[in-house]
Amino acid sequence: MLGYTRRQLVIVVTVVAVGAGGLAIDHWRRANPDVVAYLEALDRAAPPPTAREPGPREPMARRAAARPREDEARGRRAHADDATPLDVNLATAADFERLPGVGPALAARIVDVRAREGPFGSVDDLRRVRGVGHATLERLRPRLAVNTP
Amino acid sequence: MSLTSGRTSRLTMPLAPLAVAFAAGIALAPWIAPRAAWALVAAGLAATVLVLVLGQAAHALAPLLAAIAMLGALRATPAPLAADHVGRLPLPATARVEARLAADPIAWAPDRARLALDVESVDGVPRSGRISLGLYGPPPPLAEGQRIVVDARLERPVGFRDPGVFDVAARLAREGIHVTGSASATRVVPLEPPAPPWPARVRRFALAAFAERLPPASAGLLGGLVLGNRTALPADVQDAFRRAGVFHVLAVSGFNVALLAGAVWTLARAAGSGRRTAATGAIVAVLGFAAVVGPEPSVIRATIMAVLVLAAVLLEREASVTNSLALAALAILAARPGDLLDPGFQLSFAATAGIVAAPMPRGTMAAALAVSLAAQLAVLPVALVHFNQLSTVGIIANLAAVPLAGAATVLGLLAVVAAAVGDLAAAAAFGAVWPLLLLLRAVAALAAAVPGAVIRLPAPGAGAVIAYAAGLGGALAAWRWRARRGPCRTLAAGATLALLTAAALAALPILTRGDGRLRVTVLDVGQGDAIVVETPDGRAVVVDAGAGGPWRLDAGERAVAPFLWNRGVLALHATLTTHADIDHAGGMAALRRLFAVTESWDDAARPRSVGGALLTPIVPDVPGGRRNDRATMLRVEMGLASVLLASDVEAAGERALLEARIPLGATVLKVGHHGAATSSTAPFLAAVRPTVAIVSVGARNLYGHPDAGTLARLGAVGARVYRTDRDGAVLVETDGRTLSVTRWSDRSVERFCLDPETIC
Repeated sequence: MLGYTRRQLVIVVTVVAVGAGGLAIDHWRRANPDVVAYLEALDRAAPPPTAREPGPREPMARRAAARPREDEARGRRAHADDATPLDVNLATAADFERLPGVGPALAARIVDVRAREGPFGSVDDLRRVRGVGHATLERLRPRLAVNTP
Repeated sequence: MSLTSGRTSRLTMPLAPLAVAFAAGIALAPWIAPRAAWALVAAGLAATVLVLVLGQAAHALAPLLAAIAMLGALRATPAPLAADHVGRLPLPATARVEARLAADPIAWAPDRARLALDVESVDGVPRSGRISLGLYGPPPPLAEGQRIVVDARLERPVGFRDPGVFDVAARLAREGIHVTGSASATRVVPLEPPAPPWPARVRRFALAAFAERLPPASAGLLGGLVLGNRTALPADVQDAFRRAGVFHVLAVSGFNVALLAGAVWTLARAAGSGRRTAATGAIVAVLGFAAVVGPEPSVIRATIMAVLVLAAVLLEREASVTNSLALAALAILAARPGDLLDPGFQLSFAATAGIVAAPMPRGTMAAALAVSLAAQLAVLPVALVHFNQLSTVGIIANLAAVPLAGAATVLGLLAVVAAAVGDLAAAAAFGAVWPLLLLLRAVAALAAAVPGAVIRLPAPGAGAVIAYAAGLGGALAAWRWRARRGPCRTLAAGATLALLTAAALAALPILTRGDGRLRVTVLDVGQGDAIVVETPDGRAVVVDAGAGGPWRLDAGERAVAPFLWNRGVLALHATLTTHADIDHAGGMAALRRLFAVTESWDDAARPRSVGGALLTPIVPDVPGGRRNDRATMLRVEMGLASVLLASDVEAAGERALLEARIPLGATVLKVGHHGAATSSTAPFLAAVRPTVAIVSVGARNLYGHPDAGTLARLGAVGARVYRTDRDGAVLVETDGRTLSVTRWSDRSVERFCLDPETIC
């Protein structure tokens, strides 16, 4: 038949079938991004509910407040996370960058100063970093904390 | 080595005994003086020649193997560092390092990267040697082979020095790295534009194509399948593959190499080329692939074996798989003897040896099951020794995962080529591979979700592993000689006996728990606290679990958990998180995930009697105080011995405890707050009067712990001070009358007598 061996035919048919199937799936994938996202998320663990668990002796009222109600949490996950104060001695440059008015350069400087000169003793200690003045500090103060020694 | 390739030998696989002897020599190297080894090499060779001259060829093997073993021991004896080696610098030091990247940077987090650097000069003075440099901050674009200059802090590597815990410093030393460093990414100045060599360019092109054309997690998975590069694969997906016992598909192994060679061979043959052309093409493809994925032991093994098999086709000879396996082992161990202890080397060779040795039944399904079973049985001791892990679902999961991974790997390789060809080809290839990746992830997730998918057990000792290997060998021999009743029965009985011995030896740490002694171990987890209390009846209470969480080394997972497993602790009686600081509480989440925990003592502070010891949580009452001052202390008592674990409590908390007249006297004090100046005030120490003081502190920590004044105050009350930064883990053991303290770094033991009335 056409001079092809059986083996060659099998390979050609396989390659063509895989290629056509691949193109079809690719097309479907582009048309249904939400189904793709759903399938991709099936085996993924849910993100942890809170970044920092409350201390053992923290009052129950605060603990309850730290966990927004389920229906609220769905729409406002990002806000809930942002409300947790950032520990300046544990935060990464990426964490700092999420603060208002902190760009990549300042975030990198904070991390650099911390690594070179040691951890910050208090939030005010951030003044050590070039570019953190009074105004910046007061703006960031509600978002920051020093929990580590 | 001309002696070794003697064709006169009647052995069908002449290299296997030599490889085993060489490996045994490497394993024994720490106990053999080089001079004795040289003497034994000479004696062994002389004896071999003498026996051959006398015409007794049959007896020549033993002295020859002894000589080869001693050669292995000599090869593994570390050579002294060169005079200009960077490891000879006084460290720690801050220096300007000029170096060349030995490999592409490994970006393990968005703002964290690790560089392997071949040093050229330090502060302008020519130096040699390789260092491992951690970069923080978003790294600049860097490539293998590029020269850079960087202001870095250089240090000696420190790992966790705990019983049964992986020490990263030891592994780095095996790789010839004696200096590590850290630097801000902004301090890296490239001296030349990045010009990666072609394998690195191919690797980058492939990974970029995966990331561009597939959703992130699937792209990460394909990177692992095709190139063994798991940096883009989310940790939870990796964990599912590990639990399912199919993690090996994420590393490059003989499987990938065989698929590549097979694909090239099939396509070349189908295109009408001859056997020799097809074999040559496959050899070129395999060598190119090995260059792209990098020199992992499993890659080198697979490449050597594949090239030998293909060369046998070229030369029209029969290839012995066992022989090529042995040659691969000899080549890798001669070049890098430290690889013998590498889990990747052991897994690769054990699995291959198992598959080669196992009898293969007829029928595709039965053969697949046999391959899976043989590989799992062979890697069982390796997985237990390194990871305390026994996979129960692996044999079944592999039946589904391996064909899927194979198909995805072949399509992934094609997709790399397709991405280079054009858009349409790439769309077809990535469209075809994506459902396979999803299916593979589904198989791993399902298998990982089976209860008891992974059983954690203590690492078996050398005796158990040898008995197990002997048992498997005996069972194989019994199968081979099944036609002859007598020897078969003897062998089967011997194999059963050996396997039972192995199981009994391996279970010993679990069975011998609860010997009536109280043990308190202050683990070395860097800067942080992790303390394990083992009660006289064998139950375990964990007080803090070191630092942990995403983007940092999790001490709970890396140190506390393996320590517990290797002690034979498979479930925890209780955990106590003294306060929520990350260096105490961080590792607890991982621990609670890995162990069943009966009780949590985080909230209620009442005394508890556990198996003959009394454990009392003490909470300082400091209204409005800092988190440290409200941390929970734990007092552990048995007979005359008592241990006070002071967590991070500082002066205000200590004062509150003294004012509340809480009894504080203790023979052993885990010093508060890593030996900081603000803890361990003189009145507090006068109340505790410790004989033994243990400071849990990280080497070169940022806080300057422990404080010299605190150490002086401890000395003033007559306490003997132990420090985890110098002594590694500190193990306290007592029967209620005497106390022994072990420094794990040098295994030295000191004994204290608690009863003044008796002599002990």
